[in-house]
This record gives sequence, structure tokens and C-alpha cells, in this order.
Amino acid sequence: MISSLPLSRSNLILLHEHKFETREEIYALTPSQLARELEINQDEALKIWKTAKFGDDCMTRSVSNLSSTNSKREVSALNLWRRKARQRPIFSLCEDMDKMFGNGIRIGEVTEFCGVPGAGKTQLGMQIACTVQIPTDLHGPGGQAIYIDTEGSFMPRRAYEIAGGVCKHLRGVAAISSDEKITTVADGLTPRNFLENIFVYRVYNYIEQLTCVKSLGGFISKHPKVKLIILDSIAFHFRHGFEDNYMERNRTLTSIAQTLTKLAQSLQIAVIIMNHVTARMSASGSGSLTPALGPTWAHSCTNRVMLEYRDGRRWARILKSSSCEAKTIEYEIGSDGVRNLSPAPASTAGFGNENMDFKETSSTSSKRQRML
Amino acid sequence: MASLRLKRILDEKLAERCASENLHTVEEFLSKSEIELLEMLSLSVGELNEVLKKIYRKGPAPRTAYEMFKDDTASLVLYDGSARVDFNPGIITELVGSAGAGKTQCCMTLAAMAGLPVEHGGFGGGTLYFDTESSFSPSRLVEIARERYPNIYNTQALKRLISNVHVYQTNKTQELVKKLEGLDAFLIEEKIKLIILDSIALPFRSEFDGKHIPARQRLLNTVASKLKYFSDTFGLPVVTTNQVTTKFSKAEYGAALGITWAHAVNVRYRLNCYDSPTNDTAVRREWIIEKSPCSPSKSLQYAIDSGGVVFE
Repeated sequence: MISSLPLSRSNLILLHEHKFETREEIYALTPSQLARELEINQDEALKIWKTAKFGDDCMTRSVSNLSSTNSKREVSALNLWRRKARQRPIFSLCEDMDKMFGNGIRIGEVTEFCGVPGAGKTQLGMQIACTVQIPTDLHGPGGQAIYIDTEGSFMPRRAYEIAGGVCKHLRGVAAISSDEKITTVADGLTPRNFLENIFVYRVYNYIEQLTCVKSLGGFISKHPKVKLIILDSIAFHFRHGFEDNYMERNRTLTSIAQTLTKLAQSLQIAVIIMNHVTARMSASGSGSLTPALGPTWAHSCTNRVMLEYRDGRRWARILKSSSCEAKTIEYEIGSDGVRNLSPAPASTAGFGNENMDFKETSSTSSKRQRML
Repeated sequence: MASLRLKRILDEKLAERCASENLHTVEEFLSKSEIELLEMLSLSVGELNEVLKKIYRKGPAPRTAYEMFKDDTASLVLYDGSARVDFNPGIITELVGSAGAGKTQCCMTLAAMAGLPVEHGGFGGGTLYFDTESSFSPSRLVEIARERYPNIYNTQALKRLISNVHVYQTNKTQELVKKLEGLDAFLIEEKIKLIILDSIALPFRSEFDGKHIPARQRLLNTVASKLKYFSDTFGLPVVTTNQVTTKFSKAEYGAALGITWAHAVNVRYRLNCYDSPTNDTAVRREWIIEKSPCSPSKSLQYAIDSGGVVFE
């Protein structure tokens, strides 16, 4: 009954004049329709509407909180900023590449690395699968990694070497800090620790690739420490077997992309996808290299990086990103893994703190010591 | 998993409905879009999601990298010095070089090595040798084995070696693909521990012209996919040989078969053969590790003698 609603007398009279008798009649209209009907302004109409819909205590809360729809999807940019600031960044140990992305591998987004054979996609993948595990005591993400291997690139022996390189690096940085706890933790790390926290799926065809990706949600709910998914490579099984049926191919690819994007966003994890390159002939007959899987796939990833390998030198170049500027950096691959080209500058201070600072830009965050 | 029968996963009535729509395997089921499935099987969205969840649960199971590391099987090591030249199970290793560089010699050396007992660095098993260029020579294989491992390969062992090297001669891509389809049983029965494809380039380059490159690339990827499956499932190295192209544009490697095949191959060794500047008859041979996840790019000198490929 309308007369029992906690509205002002003038509003109650207004409603009565316009023949509103029950609460349902009021909130059956939208607030803007109500405003037109009652010939009042929209803020006033909203108050009446909220009272009718949600009862007595609704006035102090915002509509988005009261709504029964999924409030996890809606978030203000401020809250998004806060959420991201709380995350431990995932650094790759190649400082220039981390700076290129702003503050390490993008979390909550899908990043695609394409490159020629030999550029180092798998090396980078194996390395980040290790660095995502850097313990929280050492100000790292302390997570686990899932590695989906579609072409047999994941070689355990090399992963062991790269894990060893990460251990070496951590011990080196820990030695500079005077904190005994940090040194103890770093000294206790072995390559075996890292390998035990990388879950490797070997898939042999596109069906297995599809079912694997679709089953990840269930796997991660049982292994909540997973903070990284690597798919190496998306392309291999989609470049044969589809003959002229591009529709089915694109549909399956889109389905995989959607699932991975959703996982990245809802679980706030990083997703990295490796892609091939293919030669594209221009009219003049000269070839250029372009990411494989065509223009439909090109839309699927938030960030796209091209890894180039020419005359023994390697570069990474951002092709597409909503938040990083287009940049090119050079890197190298040694027995310890992927690193900056020049020797890294001596680390300043101790390990970083977690205060969220509005004045912080990406340059200051890289100056304050990340442990990497 | 793709050919898993639906009736083994789903309940009987649903499996029958699927069968009546000609969907018998997981692959056939998943190749249809969700809307098509909803219509064909008269399911609600919720019911379809439950069915899909059941199917997805049958997907491959993961292993930790450490389990894989512990289970890592030995490789065929051709050289272990300033760099490591080995042929690992689970991947495709390729030898690229011009004619006369020594690719076939290397293949035969590997076949001799695969036949060695395990304690001597071999696999104690047979080799499946796809010979597309009619370059395989049984007598040369015997010579290499005898000269390289004189203490191990006596007459009896040599006889065993060559009876365990199974040569399949064809230069047609379709025959190659067909043979690869039915290979499972053969590999198990004959205890094959090494697959050699000498060369992959010839049949593909001769049958596909410039206008049919996409079809060629698709078939190459199919072949690569099957080879990797055998390599991983049976824990055996797969070695292919490739030719070089004379055209060298920026987007193409020196190796034939384009960038698609370059992606498919996991390790690539380049064999170069130069005339010696000083000596007219001598030849200088260079072994380059062109693509490898385990070794940096390196250049080594090698030679070919009666015992096959040797490094200096």
C-alpha cells in the first residue's frame, strides 16, 4: 500500500492524483518514465521509485548495490584501480619487457606473443611460468602456472635450467637485502620447487585443446593458487584439418578466446597465448610476416606483442594494447633464460612496499625496487 | 579423445538421440555449434551445459613439469662438447642442408646408434626409415655401424640391426600420410625407437606448386601433428631432413617448405658444406644449431668418414 511508504506528503498526494495504488505499479515503470508521468524531476522520481521497490532502508544505498544482477561485473574505475594496486605484479625478469607492459605481465587480460620460430616464445613462457611462483615473502605473486603445450615445445630439461636461472637471480637480489628472512627463503628455493608448480597439459588436436581450455575453470577452482595460464601455441592445431571450413575454425577459436578472457577477468589472472606468424605476400611480391589465424583472431586478445628474430638479435614490439604505448625493446636469451640486453642496473633499496599511491606513475613504480 | 564414443560418456537415451543425428564421437559433437546442438537434440540450455561439462571432464589430464622432468627419457647424443647435438624424444628434429651436406649420412648414423644397447647410449630398438629420395643404402648403414662401434656390432649384431631398420620407400605425400595413419600398432610390435623422414621436402615440393601453398601447409601441419603425437606417445625421436631453397627473401628461411614447417619443427640443425679455400678436393663442413630451445646458436665443424658423422 502506497500510503504506508515513507514518502513526503506531497509525493503521496501526487501519486494518489495519478492513480497509483500499489507499489508494483510504481516500480513497473522506470524512474525516467515515472518522472514524466508525475511531471517531477528525475532525482525526485528516483527516490520514489527506490522506496517503492526496495523498502525502507534503500535510500542510503546506491542502485548498483541494491540490484540483484551480478554486481561483480560492475565496478567503478576507482575500485578497479584499487584491485589492481593490491595485486602482486608478475615480472618476467626481462626488465625492459616488464617496463614495456607498464608494470609486468598484464593481469586480468589476455596477452598474445607472436613470433618467428626461434624468437623465444616458449622460452619466455617457461620463464614466466616460473616467475609467477616467486614467493610472497619475496614480494612475488606466489602463484602456480598452467601450461598448455600443443606442439611439444615444453622441454622439461630446459624448464629446469630456466628455473635454476630464476633461483640464481632471487638469491642474488636477496643477498643485497639485509633481511635474514628474505635470504633464508631465497636460499631454500630449488628448480624442483618451481617445476612442481607448473601444470602441463599436452594436447594433440584441436578437440583436446578446446576441452582442455573449457575444463580449466574446474581445475582452477581446485587449485586456487593458479595465477597464470599459458597456451603454447594457439595456432598449431588450427592450421590443419579445417580445409575450407573457416567458419567452424573461427567459431572454435572465438570460443577458446572467450573462455580464456573470462577466466582472466573473473579470476584476475594473467593469460598468455603464443601464436605463429605466416608470410603474407604483398602485391609487389615481397613478403612480410603477420600473425597467424587471420583477422577474426586478431580481435581476441587485449594485448599483442610481436617477437622478432633477425641476424641473431631479438626484439619485442607491442602491436596492440589498450594501455601500453607501442614500443620496441631488445632482449637476449642465455642459458639462464630471457633477459635484458644490457646488464640490469644495480637494484636500489630493499623490496617494494604495497602502498597504493595516487602520485605513482609507471616510471616511479619501476624505480622503487621490485624484487626483479 | 576426439574419437571417444559418446555412448561411453553420456546416458543411453541421450547417446541414442545423438546417434540418430549422426553424432557418434566427441569430435562430431563438438564440431557443431551450441545452437545447432540445442536444435538437433531438443535440449534446454542448462541441459546442454551439463552435457558439455561431462564431455570436457574427459579431456587430457595435466602433469607437473617436475613429473615430466623425472620421466624424461634419454636422447640420441651425436655430440656433447662445446655444444650439445642431440635428438630428443617427444619432438621433431630437422636437418637442413644442400645436397651432399651429409643429411642422409647423419640419418644412417642415427639408425646405427638407435640399435645400440641402452648401456652404450642407444635405444636397443628398431628404426622406421621413410625414404623419399631413394638414398638409403643398407651396405653403407652396415659400414657405419661396423666402423663406428666395432666392439659392439659384430656380424650377428649387424644382422639384427639391419633387420630392425624398416625402410618405407615412397615419394608421394598421400602414401606418406596414409602410412602415418596406421602406424600405432606397427611401432609397438616392431619396437621402433626412432623415426626418420628423409626427406620431407621432396614429395611436398614436387606435388604442390606455388598456387596450392595453403593446401600444402595444411597437409604439412597434419603430418607434423601426427609425427609429434607418435614422438611423444612412444617416447622416440623423430628426425626429418629438408632441402634448401635458392630464393632468399626476408620472410623466408633458407630451408624449404616455408615458415609453417619452420614452426612445426622443434629443433633445426643446418648442415653447410663449403669448398675449402686452400685445398681443391677437400671440403669444409659446418654444423649450425639454428633453432633449439636447449642450446644457443652455435657453429661446429664436422666431417663424414667411414663411421658416419663425426665432430671435430
